Amino acid sequence: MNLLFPWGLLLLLAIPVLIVIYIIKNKYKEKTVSSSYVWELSKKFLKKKNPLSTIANLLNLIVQCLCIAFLAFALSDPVLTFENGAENEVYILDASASMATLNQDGSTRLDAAKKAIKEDVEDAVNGTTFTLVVADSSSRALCRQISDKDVFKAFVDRVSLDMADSSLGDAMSLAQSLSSEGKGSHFLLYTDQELSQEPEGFDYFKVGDTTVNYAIEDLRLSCVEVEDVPSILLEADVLSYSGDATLEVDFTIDGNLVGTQKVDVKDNELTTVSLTLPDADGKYEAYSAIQAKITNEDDLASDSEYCLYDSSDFDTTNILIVSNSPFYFRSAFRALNRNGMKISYQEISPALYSLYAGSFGYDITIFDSYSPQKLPADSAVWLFNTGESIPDSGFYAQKAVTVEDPGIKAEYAQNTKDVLYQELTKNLIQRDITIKSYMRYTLTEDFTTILTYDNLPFVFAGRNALSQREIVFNFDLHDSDFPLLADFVTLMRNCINYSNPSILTEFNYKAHDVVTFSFPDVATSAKIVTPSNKEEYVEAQDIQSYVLEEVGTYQIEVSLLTGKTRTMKLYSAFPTSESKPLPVAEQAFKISLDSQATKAVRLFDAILPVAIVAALFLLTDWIIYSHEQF
Amino acid sequence: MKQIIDERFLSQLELFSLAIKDNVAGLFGGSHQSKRYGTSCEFADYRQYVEGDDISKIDWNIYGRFQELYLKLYLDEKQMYTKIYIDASRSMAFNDKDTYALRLAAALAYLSISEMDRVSVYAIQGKEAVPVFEKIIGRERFFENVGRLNRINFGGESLLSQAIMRSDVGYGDGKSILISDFLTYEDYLSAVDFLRERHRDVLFIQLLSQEEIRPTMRGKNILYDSEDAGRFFQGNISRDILNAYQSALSFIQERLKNYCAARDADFAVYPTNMSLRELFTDRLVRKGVIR
Repeated sequence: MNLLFPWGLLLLLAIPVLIVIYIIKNKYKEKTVSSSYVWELSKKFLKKKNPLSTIANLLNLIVQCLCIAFLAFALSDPVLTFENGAENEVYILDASASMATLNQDGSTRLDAAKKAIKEDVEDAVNGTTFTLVVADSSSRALCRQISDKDVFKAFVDRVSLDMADSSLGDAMSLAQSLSSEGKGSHFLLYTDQELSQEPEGFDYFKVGDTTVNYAIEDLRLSCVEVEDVPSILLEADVLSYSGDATLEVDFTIDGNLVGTQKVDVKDNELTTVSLTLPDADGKYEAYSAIQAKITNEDDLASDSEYCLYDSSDFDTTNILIVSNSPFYFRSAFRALNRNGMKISYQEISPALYSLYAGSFGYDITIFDSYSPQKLPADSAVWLFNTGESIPDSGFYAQKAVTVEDPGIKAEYAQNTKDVLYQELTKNLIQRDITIKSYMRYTLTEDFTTILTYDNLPFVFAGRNALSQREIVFNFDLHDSDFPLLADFVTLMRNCINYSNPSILTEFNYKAHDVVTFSFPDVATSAKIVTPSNKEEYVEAQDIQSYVLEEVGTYQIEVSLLTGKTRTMKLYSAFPTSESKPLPVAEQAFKISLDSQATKAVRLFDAILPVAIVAALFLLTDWIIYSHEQF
Repeated sequence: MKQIIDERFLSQLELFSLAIKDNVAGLFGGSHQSKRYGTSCEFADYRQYVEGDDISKIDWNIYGRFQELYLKLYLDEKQMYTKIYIDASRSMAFNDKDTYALRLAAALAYLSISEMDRVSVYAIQGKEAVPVFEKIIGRERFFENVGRLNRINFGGESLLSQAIMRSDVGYGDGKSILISDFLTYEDYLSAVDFLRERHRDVLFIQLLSQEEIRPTMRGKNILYDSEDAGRFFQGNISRDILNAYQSALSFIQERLKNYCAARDADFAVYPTNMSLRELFTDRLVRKGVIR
């Protein structure tokens, strides 16, 4: 038995006080009466001898002491533990990634734990209530104090694997907080983890009967030269949790098996297995998918393979240049292509452009010294020295200004707190730009000024009235020294990255990592196919986040305004920490480290009415006693 | 001096008279019937005329009817001798019982005096019945002597039977009244027999205070007897004890009442919370002790 409020026992101090009062007040009083005759005679008329007569004088005291003791007991909020009682059973079920490990009977550890819980529930005495706390990436109580066994078992069935780490500590804290909400509870922990110390007050059931587990923790690709032959080097970090073993690893590139390597690994020791492939024509280097897989029999298959994806092929930027003299653009894009960017551009004269209308399917459209009647709906726009106001462009053209030699010096605006400014001026030397003529614009939208002179915006960027990403230069490149500066190409690259962002820049993650998608303006919808073939949709606008809850390959399909679809893949690896919790070599499915199968009953609520009655009795008895004695 | 005389009440008492069950054999004329034939107005019997009888007592109506001489006999009325005994033990001094006893004795004496009876009042102290005043006749003498009641010293023990039996109680000439609480270990029932053997009318009046009838004390007590410190009661006075006390008191009263009834004696209880007027007009009249 435990007392939740042991201070209540201080009330017991009232007992000696009561006894002292009795001793002081209950001594014989001497009196003289006219005659003692009747009093003596009255002894013969006592109807019957009470067997308790010897303690009759003490009976009041005894009853009052008992009342005080009972009240002290009730006040101390006792919790009684006893065997096989009906109480709240709190099950803490580990649903972390390691629970996906297969047992010898082919079921996962989670399935085995669920089965054990359901059997335990079935054996519980009637009246027992059940609470289920799931320990996964976010510990939570799935249900609380359910008395219907079938309903509770349905909740148990609903628990699914969470391919992430679990915090049993959080789950235990949650369970303990539930216990303080009401009646006493009995806690049962089902997990495959080795606990550093046995949690006090919990019954601990270790789940898992298998020992075979191998894992690949990382896969890398690098370009090397072997005997002057360009080659690629594939390296996989493998690990055995089941003692020393010889592992066989298959390497696959873009779906084709390119090699199998055998490696001897020691128990729990990270070993690198590598494969070198000649790649003179760069075929392998331009991979889209590389996979390494341990082919040995393994009870936890999820961590036995690892994939690398690279979907950067899809990130080619298509640009339409509407200009009579696109020389500088052409030069800049060529330079960027040589430096790894993938830019595809087309040139068209303004006269020809004016013949068409509607969408063209480009990521970016550049209008150089030409003012279209309306902006293309399906791309970002760059406007250079547009002499007339363009509807929805977010600014009005006022007048052309020509400056005498040597021209004006436009400066960078230093809007260092502006995120867009930071993005567009990244890696710029930021030298002043000399300009000889320019257009004076009045802005109607909230743009970020990049370059300015005399408080006039010379280069600004932002969203126009059509919510397109728009970058505006109010001068002709030919009337400035900007194309001659080193910043020109860098700024073009920054502008391309802003106008046509890469949807994904990273393709390899761990389970429960957060993926950030940067959708271009031309994206209309995005569908994500999970490793378990579930289809989920995210809003294809700006920057979106998505949590990778499963282990394996995710496929992302982005639909564009042009009707095309961009498809890319990313890999969500098994959490490394979850590969490690291996069961000890025990045959028993359940290991009860503590046989204390007691269940707690909080007595306070039950004895409260009795305590009230006792208090009333004590009060009444005391009043009567006081009336008689004093 | 205790106020024992309530003149207004005494004047009301003149409307009553002490009843006596036996005819009185006194020497002097009074207002109580005697066993002898005398000169009262109350017809008693007829007898045949013999020579030498007073011819004025011949019933000439009978002679006219039967032609024989008969004398008409009338009862004689004699004077009653009332003896009032007051228990002067220490127990009677508790809860003002002594005052109530003296008032009661004075009232009874006056009631008897107003019937032209002789009255003696005795205080029983130990084995003696000490006279307070004796053979008083007439209101004048009564008022002269009634103050002597205040001289009675209540203290010590009273051996009621012995004291009465050792005194001159007379024979068949009146009423003996004993006023006591009868809460004593000593014998008092023998007095009833003794007095009845001498053809005395007997009236025992038990005088009890309210505390004696319904004790208010509770809890653990040692109760010492006022007359003998060697006697005491020790115990926890609980509800059960109090119930037993009531039973014991009832037993004492019933025993005395039955004893008296069996010997044609009267017994009455006078609680001190009852007024004298109520005692006389209610209890004693109802019992036929006074008329």
